[in-house]
Amino acid sequence: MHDIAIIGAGPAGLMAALGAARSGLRAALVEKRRDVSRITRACCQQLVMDEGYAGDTVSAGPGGISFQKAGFTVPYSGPLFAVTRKYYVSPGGRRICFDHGDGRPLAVQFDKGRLLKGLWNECAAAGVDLMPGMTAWNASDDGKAVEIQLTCSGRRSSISARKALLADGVNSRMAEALGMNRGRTHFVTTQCMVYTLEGVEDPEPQAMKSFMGGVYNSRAPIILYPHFGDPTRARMCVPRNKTEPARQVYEFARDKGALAPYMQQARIVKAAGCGLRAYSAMRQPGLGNALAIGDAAAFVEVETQGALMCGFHAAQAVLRELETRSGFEGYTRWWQRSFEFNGPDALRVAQGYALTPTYTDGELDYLFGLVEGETLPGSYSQYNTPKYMWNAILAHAERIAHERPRLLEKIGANMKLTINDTL
Amino acid sequence: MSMTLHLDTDACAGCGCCGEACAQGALELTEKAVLIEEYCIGCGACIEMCPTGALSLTNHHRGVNP
Repeated sequence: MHDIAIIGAGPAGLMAALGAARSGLRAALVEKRRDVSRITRACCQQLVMDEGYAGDTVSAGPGGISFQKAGFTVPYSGPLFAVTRKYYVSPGGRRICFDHGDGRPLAVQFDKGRLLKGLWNECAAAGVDLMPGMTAWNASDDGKAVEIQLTCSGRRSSISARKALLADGVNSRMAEALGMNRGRTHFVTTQCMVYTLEGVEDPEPQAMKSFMGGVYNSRAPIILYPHFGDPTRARMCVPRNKTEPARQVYEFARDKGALAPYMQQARIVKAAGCGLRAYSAMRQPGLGNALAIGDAAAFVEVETQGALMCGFHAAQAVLRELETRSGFEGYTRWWQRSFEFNGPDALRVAQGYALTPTYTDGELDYLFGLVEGETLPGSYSQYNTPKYMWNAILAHAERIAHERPRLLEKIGANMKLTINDTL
Repeated sequence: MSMTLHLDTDACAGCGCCGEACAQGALELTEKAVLIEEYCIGCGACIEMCPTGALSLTNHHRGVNP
C-alpha cells in the first residue's frame, strides 16, 4: 500500500507528489493523460502578479516561479510573456485601462505544458510511482485507507493508500465519489473555448482585453490575450451563452462591435475547450483520509499559482496527518485564509463579470466613456479589478446623477447583488 | 429501446471533461475522448460538460420490432 495517492497531475497534484516523495513518503500519482505536456484543455496559463493574490506574491524569472511568503521556487525554464496593461472594452470601443504606469507586469503568461512536464520529470527523479494514462473514476474510504478505482483501455484495477489527495480539478470526480460536494452550492454548469488565433490585427498585443456587451451575444466577457511564446499568435477565451455553443458565439462576435477591427484576418489554428461545474468553495476540504486540493475544492479556480501553493502545503499536511492527525486541520486553516473566494465579499466578483445583461450596450458605452483616459491601478485580480472599476466610475456619481439619474439608481441596486443573483 | 451515447471524434477537442462527469468510468482520454461502450449506461451526464457538442444520445432499438 502507498502512503499517499494523488489523483491528477496538474500543478497541484504534481507539487504535492514531489513534496511527499521528497519527505520520504511512498507516493503514487494517477493521471488520465499519457503526456502532461499536451494541453488540450482550456485553462489558466498565466501568473497573476498582484501582491498578496491568493495569499502569496509570486515572481517569475530564469530561475523559475518563486513564492515569496511560502518560500519555495518551482523550476520552469520555458517562455515568459509579460502582460503590462489590461483593458475593459465597451461595445462601442470605450476603454477602461489598468496599468501600473511603471512597466511592471500585471500578469505573466507561460507555457503550462513545459511547467507540468518539468514537474513530472522531477517527480520521476524523486521516486514518485507515476501512473499515466489511468482514469480514476470512483473512490471509497473505509476509515483505514482510500481505495481508488482505475480504468485504462477498459481494463479495471485499483490502488489503495493511507491518504488521498484529490487534485483532479474543478469537476473533481473523486470529490463527488467521496461525497465531498454535499453542502456546496452549484451555481452553473457551462463551457468555454480557448482559440489560438493567427492574423489578429492588434496594435497593442502586450495588453489583455476583455470585450463586454450584449452585441457579442455572450453574457460573459470575450477575452483576447497574448500568446505566451509566439508573437504572431493571440489567444481568445470565448464562453458559451445560454443557447449557443462557444463556436457560434465566436463566429458572431468576430464580426461585431469593438472586436471586429481586430478580427478581419483572424483564423483559428488551435482549439481547446472545457466544461465546468461551478460550485461554492469547500469550507472543509478534508474528509476522512482524503483532502481535496486546488480547483477540486475551489470556487471555479485557484489558477496555476494557487494550485502550486495547494500542492506545496498539502504535501506537508499529509506528512503531519500521518504523524499527528493534525495535518488536514492545519491545511484547512491555511486554505480558508489564503483564497479570496473564501472571504465574505468574494461572490461580489460577479459585479465585474456580469456587466451584461445587467447593463445595456449604450449604458456600458456611457459608463466606460466616463473613465476613458484615466489609468486605474495595475491589477489582474478578478477580485480587485471590479472594485477599482466601480470606484473610478462612481467618482463621477454627480455627473451620472445629473445626466442619467435612472442609471445611477440601477447601479446602486446592482451593487447589492452577489453571484447567486447574477448566475 | 435504450439510449446510446454517440461520440463524434472529429468534433472532440480532447479536453477530457466528459470523463470527469462519468460515474461509470466509461470515458477515458488519449488524444481524444475514448468511449468504453461496455460500461456506458446512457445516462448523458457527460453531454453537458462537452464544449464542442461532440457527445449526443440517440435512441437505439434492440431486437426486431413485431
